[in-house]
Order: sequence, then structure tokens, then C-alpha cells
Amino acid sequence: MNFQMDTSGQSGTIFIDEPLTIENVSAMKNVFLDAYKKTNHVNIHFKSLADIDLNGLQLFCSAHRTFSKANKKLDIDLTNAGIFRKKAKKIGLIRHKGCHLEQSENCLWRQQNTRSR
Amino acid sequence: MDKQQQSYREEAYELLAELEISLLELEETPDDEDLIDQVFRAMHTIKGSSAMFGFDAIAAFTHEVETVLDLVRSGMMPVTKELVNLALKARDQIKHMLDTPNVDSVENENIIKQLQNLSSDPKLSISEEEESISEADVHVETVSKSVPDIDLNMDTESESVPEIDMDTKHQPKADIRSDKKEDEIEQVSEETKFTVTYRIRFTPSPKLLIYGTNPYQLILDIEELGDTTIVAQTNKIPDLFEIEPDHCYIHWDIILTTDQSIEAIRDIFIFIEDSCDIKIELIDEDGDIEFGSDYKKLGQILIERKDISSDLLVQTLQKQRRLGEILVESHVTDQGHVESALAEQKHIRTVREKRKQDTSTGSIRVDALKLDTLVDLVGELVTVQATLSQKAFSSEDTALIGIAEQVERLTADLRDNTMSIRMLPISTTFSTFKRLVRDLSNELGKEVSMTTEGGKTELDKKVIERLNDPMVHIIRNCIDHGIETPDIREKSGKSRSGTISLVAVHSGANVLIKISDDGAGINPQKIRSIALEKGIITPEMELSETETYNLLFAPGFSTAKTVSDISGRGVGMDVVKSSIEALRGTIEIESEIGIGTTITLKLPLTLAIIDGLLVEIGKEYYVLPLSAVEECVELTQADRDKSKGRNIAWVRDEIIPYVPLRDIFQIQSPTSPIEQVVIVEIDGALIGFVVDNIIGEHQTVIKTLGRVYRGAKEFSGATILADGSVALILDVHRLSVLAETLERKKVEN
Repeated sequence: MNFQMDTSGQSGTIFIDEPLTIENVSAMKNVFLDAYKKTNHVNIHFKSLADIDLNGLQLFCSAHRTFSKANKKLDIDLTNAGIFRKKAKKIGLIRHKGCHLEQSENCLWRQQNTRSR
Repeated sequence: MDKQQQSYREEAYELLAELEISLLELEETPDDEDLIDQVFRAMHTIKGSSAMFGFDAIAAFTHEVETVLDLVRSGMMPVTKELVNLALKARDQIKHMLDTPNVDSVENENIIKQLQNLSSDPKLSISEEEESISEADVHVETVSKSVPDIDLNMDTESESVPEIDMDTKHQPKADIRSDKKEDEIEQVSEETKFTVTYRIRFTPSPKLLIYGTNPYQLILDIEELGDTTIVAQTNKIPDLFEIEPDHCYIHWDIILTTDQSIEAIRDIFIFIEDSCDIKIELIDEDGDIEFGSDYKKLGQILIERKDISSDLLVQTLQKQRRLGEILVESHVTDQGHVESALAEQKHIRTVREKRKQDTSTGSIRVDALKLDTLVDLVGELVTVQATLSQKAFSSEDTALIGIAEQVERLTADLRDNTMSIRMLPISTTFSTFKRLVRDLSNELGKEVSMTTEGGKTELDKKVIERLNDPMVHIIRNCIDHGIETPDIREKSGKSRSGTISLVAVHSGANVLIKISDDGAGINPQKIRSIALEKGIITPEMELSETETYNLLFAPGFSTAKTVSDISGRGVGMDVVKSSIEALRGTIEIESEIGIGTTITLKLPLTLAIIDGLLVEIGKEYYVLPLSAVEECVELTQADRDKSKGRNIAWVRDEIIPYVPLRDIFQIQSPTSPIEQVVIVEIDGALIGFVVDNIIGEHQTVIKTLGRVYRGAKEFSGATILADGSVALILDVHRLSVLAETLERKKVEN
């Protein structure tokens, strides 16, 4: 996984091509922090996502909150990541409304925000 | 085979039928996680009960199939057409193993190998396969963009709970029973188990994951115990600067409805209970049905859980707004806890509603043979009751007549109730044809979908059982001869996909089943030329459209240019017709070239008791099915003279051919001067049967004829009359054919 600034210089993309499980989450956290420091708008693109566990989902939640609180954007393209929603649903994360830490209705786990289109 | 094994087999057949339906639906909606769960659970239950009752080969085979399905369930493998094909193949193999216990294991190995190959195919890994059915639609989510405002789904103390899509998994009791633990099967308890609902708050130690315990697995274990609603609480997850990625910050509120004890839940947490906070509370019991589906208000739940104090609730309620909204805005609790409480409210309401339904629609499984015996006994009772009524009325004893009338009423009620027990919805048969349509259309390279209507229409169990084969043949013909290939359809301005529709409707004492296709239709000219070629008709014969279509039912007739495995051997439609007629039904064809064909089956509701018309010839009694009778007219010597020796009667200027039953049955006693013609409709034509006297309507309990009378096909059975004598039931279709044959021979001679 890595972070690259886009050619426009206005945003960057995190490319993920390995499982987001307990073994990799520390590295992933560092990628998120790096992206947070470098830009206000980060896109996440899954090249592939073989697995994601509780730690991976937790880290996404944390990153999303951190970006939102700082009025930064964290956009996730869920193509190639069917397992992301399945695991989140299985674990009981999907809901109608997000937590009170988020001011707007953009919680990562809101049904509308993870539903297939 | 002992009773337990027998009930295992019955349950397994039912599960296989459900499995087939679920797989076919899954093929159409591969994203449906509930369907994936249904498929998995059916397979899992079959495995568990097979092992329990000693069907080890089935258990072993099912275990392998289940392993692959588990990959699908956990999102590691997509639902593809190939997977559905193999799963259906595996389902058929299990059925084959149930039918034939010592089945060859080579086919098992083949299927398992194919499934394993499919699951290990890297191209089909869900993470890499962009074009898998389940992920075919691209998910582009911009989670930071503002989304349209939605209804604030928070409950007030007086309003109904909003919809919440929590992860609620419904497991049938049979599954829970066999689902205890992998390969650990418990003896089935004969006593009925009651369900209770627990509220579990599970707060793991932050370092739980580092110590090697995965809370996700614990949640899966809880799911195995019953119906669950799981809400993960995320409010303690810190931001990126503070988070320790390998710590666990989530805690869970789980509502579990189960027939297991609280100890079974505690067992799941046994190794971590000292390092985690686990609260398990009983919140609903099976006996609570007096409360209906109502459940505690949101505020009550939050207070009970100690998420808020009652004082704060009172203060907040005074603001008279949506409680959940107010509580969150006031920072009394967070949204996660409100969601969780609402989920609990919804879960319990659903459980109670279901329980209420279960209580009102309770059913028991009864051996079909016992039902048949019951129907036979009711038949005997009807006969005895008729005898009693006859004796009572001839005795002129008013007290006896009163009792006889009472017995008559009770017998009629008993008869109707007993008959209704044997009635089954036709949907039980309709659902099996979906697979047939799918497989045949694939085989023939055609696109065909099937629609059904009136599936709730009920028919006698025996009629439904015997209806299967003729319907299979008709549907095969529809796909093989009727529906065109996609290219041809497109050229003729039709959609590429053809449709077969099955419709069932009540029509008096009968049920009409219409099988329609929107295919090429039947060309009457083509039928005529084939019939001429095969010598079924002669060139001078002029036939109406209906008569022309009826040629399709002639033995040896086939319009197919090539003989396929599917149809076209010319041995089918005549067998279909005789099968339907054996059910005392009729079959009709309507067709329009380029538009399609409809085949209508008219079937009696039941085969056990019919309304008959009792007639007399000489000293013998006979019964004609009343449903076929159109009218009765007198036949005098003057009428005979008018027809100049031919067997025809003039009814309102219409010529009706008749069959003199006295001649057919070779009854020698003197003829009465005025005879009666019972006119019936056969294949759209009217034909008369001449008898001496018409006695009247008769509730006819059908008895099968003994082996000695097997050759007498003109009689569909016999019945016992009130005086104990026997009346034969006439098969009017066969009698007309016999009369025609005899007439032809007479002319030829």
C-alpha cells in the first residue's frame, strides 16, 4: 500500500493491494497519517482486498473521523472491496445514522454510504 | 427403516426442495446475503442431521460442499453461474444418495473436485474478480460528500420504531439444533424447546487482539446459537494520532433469541471472561405472548441498560421531541447507544410477532398413509350414513329420522374437513418446474423465464402428485417446440427471452391450470399434413381448429423434425392426455401462430369423493361424473325411427351422437319404451350415453376396482350404494373411444 499525490497537486490517492488485517494495520496507519499531513483530499483505491479484520475496519473509522474533524475529505472507492461491506455488516457496524462525533451525515457506516449502487 | 430415519429423510427432501428454490433465486440475485445464508443453512442442516441419523456418506459429501459455500458466505468467493450449477448438481447428488443409499461415490468425488477447483481459482477470488456477479455493479462511494437528508429515525416514547437494517440472522430451529458446533451433534430432544431473548453487552479488553483472541469469531459463535441483532459501538475509537491499531476499541450490544441456556452463551466467553466485561440479561421469554408484539419504549431500554438515568429521561421528555434525537443532541448518550436500543426494540417486536404467528399457525407432520386411511374411513362412513338415512326415511320413525339427519350433517362436515386436510397448494409443484425451465433452456440455447400465478390454489395431494409428469412433458414441449431461439425471436420483433406462465384458478368443482408460452404457436396446417402423412386422418376428413389441435394427442403423432432428448418422440402427448383423463380431467389447446400456445388442464379438486349421476340399466346401477354432464333428454321409439337406425338424437335441432350402453355392456333384459340420454361434453364435443333410468345425484365415494377388473378400462372405479349394492363408475372418455372403435368395425364389416 502506498500514498501518491495526484498530478493536480490538490489531492492524493492511497492504493491498497494487501489484506488489512492486524499484521498490516500499523503500516496502514502510517500511510493514513502521511496522507493527512500532505493533502486535504484523499482518495482510497483498492487494487484488491483479500481480507479485512476488526483492526482494519477500526482504523478506517478512526481515519475517517480524523479527516472529517479537520474538514478534510476521505473518499473511498469500494470497487474490488466487496468484503469491506460484508465484514462491516457482519460485525454490526452498518447502521442508519452515524455517531455523534460526526457533525454531518457522512459516517462511514451509514447504510447509504456503504450500499452498492 | 426406523421412524427417526424416515422423518430425517422427509426433512432432507424438504430441505433439498428449499435449497433448489434458493439456489435458483440466488442465480437471479447473487448479491442477496439472506439467500446465501439460506443456502448455507440448508446444506449445514442436511449435513448435521445426516451425521446424526447415520447417513455418513451424505454427511461427508455435504461437508465438502458446505466448505465451499462457507467461502461464499464469508465473502471470499463470488456467486457465479458456474457455482450455482455445481451447487445444484451437488443438491441433485444428495437427493440421489437419499433415493439410492449405496450410490457410487465417483460422482461425489467429481462434484467435490469441481467445487474445489472453483474455490481455488484465483480468478474467482472476490477481491480480484471485478466482473463477478455479486460485484458486477461498481461501488464508487464518496463518503465525505454530503448525502441527501434522511428521516431522523429516532423513536419517541409514543411513536413506532423506524426501520433499521441491522444484521439479523434468522436460523430455523432445525438448524440451530444441528448447528451446535462443527461435527458435534447432539441427540435431538423430543420435547419442545422454548426460545428466550438475551441482551448481551460485550466490552472486550483493549488488548484482546494482541493476546490472540478475535472478537469477530466470538460474535460468529453467538450467531450460531440463534437469531441475532448485532450493533457495534464505535464511540471509543480514537483519532489517527492516538489509535493503537492492534487494540480493540469497539464494544458490542447483541440481542440473541435462542433455545439455548445462558450457560451456552457464557461458554463462548469462557476463556476471556476475566479480561472482558460481559453482561448477559434475559429480556424476553417465550411465555410473553400476552404482550403481543409490543415491547419496551426506547427510554425504558436505555435506563435498564444504565445508559441514561431516569431523571435525565424525565427532563428530556419534557422537551417533547423525538427522544433519541434529543438524547443525542443533549449528549446524554451517543447515537450508537440509541441505535442499539432501537435495534433491541425492533428485534423483540419481530420475535414476538413471529411467535404470535407460530402460535396461530402451528402444524404437525402426519404420515400420508394415515391420511389416506382417514379418507377411506370417511368414505365408509358416508356409505353407512346413506344406508342409515334410507332406512330411517322408510321407517317413518320421526325420532330415527331426526338422528339420521343429524348424522348426515355431521358426516358432511367431517367429509369436507377430511378432504381439506389432503389439499395442498399447487405452488408445491410449480416451484419444481423453475429448475426444469432453467436447465432445459440452457441446454437448448434458449432464454426462457417462468412466471406463476395462483400458486395458493389447492388440489388434492394425489392429483398434485400425478400431475407432475404430464406437466413436465407439456413444459418440455413449450421450450423445445414453442419458444424460439433468441435470434429468431429478435428477428420477429419479440424480446430475446421467452416466457412460460403457469396459472392456476378455481372453476367450480375443478381447478384450471393454464400453461402458456409466448413462442411460435402451432400451425394447424402443419398438423393436418403430418396427420395425413401418418395416416391418422384421411384427406376427406374436415376438422375444426380444436379437432386439429387434438390430433396432437393421437398416439405416434409428432411435429418435431428431429427426435431430441427433450421431446419429439411422438409418444408424449397421448400419454399426457391419458394421464390427465385418468385424473378425470380434460386437456385443451389454444394457439395463435407467432403469438404462442396455451394448454389448459381442467382437474377435479379431489379424487376420493365425487358428485355423480346415478343411472340404471337393466338391474344394474352406474355412476357418471356429474361435472361432465350437460343435460339429460328422453329417447323414445319415435326418436329412434327418426334417426333411421343411426345412433343419433335430435336435441333442439342439433345432432348428438349417442352410445347405447345397454348394447355396449350386452345387457339382455327388455328395453324400456322411453330411455334417457345423458349428454356429456368430451373434448369440446357433445356425446350422449343411453340408459334406462336416471336415479339422481349421488355422493360417490370412489373405490378402486380389484385386480380382476384391471382390463375393464371403461370403468374408473366403483361405489357402494345405500342398500349395499355396487355401482360402477363410468369413464366417459374411454367409453366414447370404445363406442367409436366398435362403430368403425361395424361399418368396415
